[in-house]
Amino acid sequence: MIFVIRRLGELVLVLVSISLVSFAVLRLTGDPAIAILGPDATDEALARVRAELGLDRPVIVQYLDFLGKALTGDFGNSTRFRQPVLELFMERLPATLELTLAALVISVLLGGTVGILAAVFRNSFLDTLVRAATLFGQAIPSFFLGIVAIIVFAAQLRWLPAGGRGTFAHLLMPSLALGTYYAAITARFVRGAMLDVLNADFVRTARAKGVAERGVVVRHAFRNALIGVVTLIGLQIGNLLSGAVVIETVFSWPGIGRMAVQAIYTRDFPLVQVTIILSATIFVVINMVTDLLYRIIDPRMRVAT
Amino acid sequence: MRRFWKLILRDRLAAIGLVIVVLLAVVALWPAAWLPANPTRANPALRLKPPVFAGGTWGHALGTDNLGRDLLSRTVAGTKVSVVIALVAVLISATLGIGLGVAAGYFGGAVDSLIMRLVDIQLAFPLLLLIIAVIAVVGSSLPILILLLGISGWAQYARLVRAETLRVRAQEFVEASRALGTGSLRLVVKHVLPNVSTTIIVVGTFEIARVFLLESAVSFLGLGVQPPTPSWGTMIADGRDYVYEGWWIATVPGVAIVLAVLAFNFLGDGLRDVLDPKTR
Repeated sequence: MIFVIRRLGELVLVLVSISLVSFAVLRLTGDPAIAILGPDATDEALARVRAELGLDRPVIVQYLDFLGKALTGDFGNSTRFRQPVLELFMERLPATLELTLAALVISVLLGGTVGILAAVFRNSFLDTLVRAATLFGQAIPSFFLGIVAIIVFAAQLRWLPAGGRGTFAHLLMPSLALGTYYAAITARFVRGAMLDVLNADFVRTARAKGVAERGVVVRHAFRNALIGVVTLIGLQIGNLLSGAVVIETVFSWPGIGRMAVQAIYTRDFPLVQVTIILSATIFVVINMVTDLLYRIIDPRMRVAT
Repeated sequence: MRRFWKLILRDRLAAIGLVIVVLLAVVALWPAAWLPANPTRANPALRLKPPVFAGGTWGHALGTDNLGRDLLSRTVAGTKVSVVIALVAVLISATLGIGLGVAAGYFGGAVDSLIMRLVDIQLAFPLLLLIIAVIAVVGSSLPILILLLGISGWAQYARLVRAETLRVRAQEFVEASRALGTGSLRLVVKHVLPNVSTTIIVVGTFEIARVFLLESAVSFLGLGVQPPTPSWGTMIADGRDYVYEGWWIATVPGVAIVLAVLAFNFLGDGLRDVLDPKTR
């Protein structure tokens, strides 16, 4: 319980620092009054607009005001689209979630399967192959993998579309490009965890009892290896979300990452701000939920804390 | 020392890693005057020439990009930029982490819990988003990029050094020195650093690979190294628009990144086995 409270306190701290950084993003980008009226505006006109926008108040008051509005979902309007930025964010969020989820499935299914096989057939040719693949998978930047995939499967073979969103074919390359790095990490982790468990005493007991090898692997080893995998998956969701920024740019995927990068180019700061605050919040909350879940799944951890 | 080299070279992957790292160092130190061409000079007459193994000429061994710039020269120049960024960034995070780790372990109490909370916050923060946010505000320049990448990695070192500091501080000779009123902070530092130096070298080696990946991603988005300075990430971004007529534009710098990251990961694995067998 003490742990939960401490973790919640930390969550609040992280969220406050995120809000500070994002507030600074908007405040340090020049005088909004000049941005509205142009460089030729008179001093009186500028002062009037500043008063209207509340910019003549102390910075701390402005920050608290910003925080209060943010808590009620008011993040201001996009300077480019003249629309509430929260609406724009929500419009684009499903696309990013779709991509992140698909990449997660690849990471877990591909990485998990390959990792288990490598552990069960330890030191075989398959194991060597898997270990080599995981080394490469962790060394290739996702965006480069994505471009290579476009060159091969879209430009040369013309099997898959080079960008955009819609059908399953559109999802295939972006999710593979994003998921490969994490599949490599999952494979490496699962292989290690399975090897540890396969050598544990209780597995030897199960074998001695005469449980078939298949049962040993599936029922005894895999279930215990799964505990660590849950944490790994939770950490990966957060990282996949921020990794999506790059992959969305490569594949013109209409998600929040691409929107944020374009907003930076067009200096649409309220839009940048909402993307950063909300994605960072999602990231932090997912990390915390994972951490708590881990402690619920594994009773040993409950005693330890 | 001779035993060290022997062990490293016996590990096949580590030896490959070491060879590539040495190669990278040579390329990074290669004088600009000895390049086959000026890496930033455009020449429309030489646009989109393929590499020599795909029907090009030796004059532009790795081909040219959409502006007719020589890709071999650009990749070499980009190596210099990426290597300098990675080295300085890792140096910054190591220094920061060691300093804060010693402070946390030595002073304890409020200082310790403040620094450890910072570690937790840092590890919970989405790095790429933070870097994008700051660059969105202040614009991108090399010092800012290096600083951001440097700040991104300190937490690991801090944890490591703090644990070691706590261990050393609890030892009798430190207690004794404090009782005698001599500077025990200096004593602690003197005993902590040799004990953690090998682990720090191992962590630093992996960190260089991580910074290569992070920097190339930021530069790919157009928020890192700015043109005309070539870097691997910006070169891949150039190639993104020419996947049909110039596949080599993105592929050449991409292969450079993969090799560099692999090399430092291999070397890190090898160093860990040799220097620090207990952390396996």
